[in-house]
Amino acid sequence: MTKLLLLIPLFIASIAFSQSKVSNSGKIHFQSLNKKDVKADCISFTSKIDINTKKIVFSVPIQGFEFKQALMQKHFNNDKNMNSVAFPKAKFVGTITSEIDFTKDGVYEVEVAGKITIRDVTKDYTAKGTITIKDGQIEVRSTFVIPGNDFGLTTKYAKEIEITLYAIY
Amino acid sequence: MRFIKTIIISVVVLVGATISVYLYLHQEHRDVQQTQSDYTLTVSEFVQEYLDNPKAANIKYLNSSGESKILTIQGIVKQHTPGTDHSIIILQSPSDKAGVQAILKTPHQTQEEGDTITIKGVLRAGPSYDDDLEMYENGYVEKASIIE
Repeated sequence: MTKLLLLIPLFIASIAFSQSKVSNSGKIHFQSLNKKDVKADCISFTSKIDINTKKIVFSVPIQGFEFKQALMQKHFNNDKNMNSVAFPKAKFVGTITSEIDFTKDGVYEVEVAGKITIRDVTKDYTAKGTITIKDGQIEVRSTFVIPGNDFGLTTKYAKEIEITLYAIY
Repeated sequence: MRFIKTIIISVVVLVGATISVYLYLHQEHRDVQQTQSDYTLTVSEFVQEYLDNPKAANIKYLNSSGESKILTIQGIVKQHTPGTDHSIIILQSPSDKAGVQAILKTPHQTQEEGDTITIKGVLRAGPSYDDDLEMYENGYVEKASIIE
């Protein structure tokens, strides 16, 4: 009986340390700051946030980005640009470096440090954003700029790419 | 007379070329629902094919223009998230490691978890195990509709 009682805190601890939430609801938008009509939205993705380790991951299918112009979408996906057959997903893996209490409702201004992988090229980035916690629901919002040339994109439209995302967990 | 004929031909060629360039630049997106499916299969078959050989599956199902294969795919509803702009349905058999996440453009009729349905949509990316997510990631199908 005593052994059984000792196991209870271990069981509770194991649940606490595995608390993570998965999201597939939200939107990721990108826009070239060099040509305003080069922009697209993606509503298919998987994101996971671990509220104990503060690790956050986004995995995004490249072909999920929908442009208004079909021709632009074809150019975006082709071998010279995103090469979406060889590299079908982009990824962000980061850690929230700011203080945040996931058990308390509120709007938290946060900074996330991590790595972005596009076309199999990985670069370190830091992004700012907000995390809103309300009634157990987590909403992540962020806007940041990445230089597309860092990932081997040679088109002038990829010089500065602004990414805006939100996800609901 | 020859001069006028040359002018008329030049104008016709110029107008034709202008129209062609305009149509090329402003081409419409493919209508997924009006296009014939490339493959008809079950979610389990599709997931297994991707997990067995993702590179070969990418070559088979994805297209470098972004206009990838259109699938008619049958599976069990694991999760249905209705929305105002679109709804998300995850099809996955309990015995499978991953499934397919489908975006339905129009908010759809209620789907019960456990229902077996058939959807038609365009593939965006296949399922895989992701070390960073520490989980199996579903395949992504968009512009989907329930056909059965």
